[in-house]
Amino acid sequence: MKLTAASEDRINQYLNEVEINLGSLSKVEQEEILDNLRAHIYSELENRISGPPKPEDIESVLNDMDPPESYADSTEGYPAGRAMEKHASRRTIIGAIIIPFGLFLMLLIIPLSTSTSPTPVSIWQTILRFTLLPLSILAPFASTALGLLGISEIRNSKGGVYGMPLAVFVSLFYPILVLDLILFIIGWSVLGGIEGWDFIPLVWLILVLVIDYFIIRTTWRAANRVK
Amino acid sequence: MRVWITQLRKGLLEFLTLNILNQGETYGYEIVQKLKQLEGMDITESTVYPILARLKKDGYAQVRSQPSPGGPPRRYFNLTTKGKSRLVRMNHYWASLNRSINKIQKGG
Repeated sequence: MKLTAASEDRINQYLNEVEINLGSLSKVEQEEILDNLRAHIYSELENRISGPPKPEDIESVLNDMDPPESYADSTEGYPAGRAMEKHASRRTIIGAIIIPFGLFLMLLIIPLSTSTSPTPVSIWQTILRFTLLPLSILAPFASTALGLLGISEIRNSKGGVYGMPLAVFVSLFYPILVLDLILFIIGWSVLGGIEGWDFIPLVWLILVLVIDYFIIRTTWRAANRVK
Repeated sequence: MRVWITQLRKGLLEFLTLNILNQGETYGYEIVQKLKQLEGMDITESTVYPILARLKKDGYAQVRSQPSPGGPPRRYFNLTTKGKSRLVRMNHYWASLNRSINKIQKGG
């Protein structure tokens, strides 16, 4: 069966669109599917037309076939190749590694701002401050963003990526820490002056913990909600 | 109900494809036509070819290319020994599952 260059181009265009939708499969599987599809199109043409096919015949065959987008759906249930290998969320792991750098920032700032008597600072301490300081400043934002990206990655992987508890922890660590600090400052400034109310700090602590619990629970549920 | 049917079809597709391949060497287009004729399965080429590619990758099926006049080579699929032994196990399991379902449906 001899096809015109235009007809072959049209078939190649369809196969290219299919290939785009086979992204979750390995290269070998993609090539296998495309080879089979090409043979399928020719078989269908042979079945329908006895002579050389016209462009409208090609169009008719391609119109009767599944749209290229349907290959994305049909491969969903059959993850293969790289998609088959389960792995932990790398974004989440990086986020978890970054968390301590933000805490280091507090250790750097607090002694500087609260010390009343000048203490000699060694060179290595100065170097350490200037090398780790940018990372420490970025850490709270970066770890929160990486945690959220990790949650999204795990949800979209359909079981291929795991580590949801760590992703939720990483995404909430600094927001909750900041919220707790703000609540404690508010509690201290508003209620700290009241005399004889010794139990207030304890009540306030419980209230903060309850708020934290509800934030964590809501985030956990949202992260695990079925799409 | 639709989700359940879709999941069931997906699970059955590999089983059915292996059974067709077990009948003898056949090419992709023919497999698709046979599966399309099955009532209630709603199978098209976009579901069959990914399965065939995976069966080949996993070593359950092999392909023999035969030149075709004026077209791309026709690709014939065969079950490998590994594929045949998998199909035997699947058929056994299917028979046992079928018996259990019948028993439950009859109130056993």
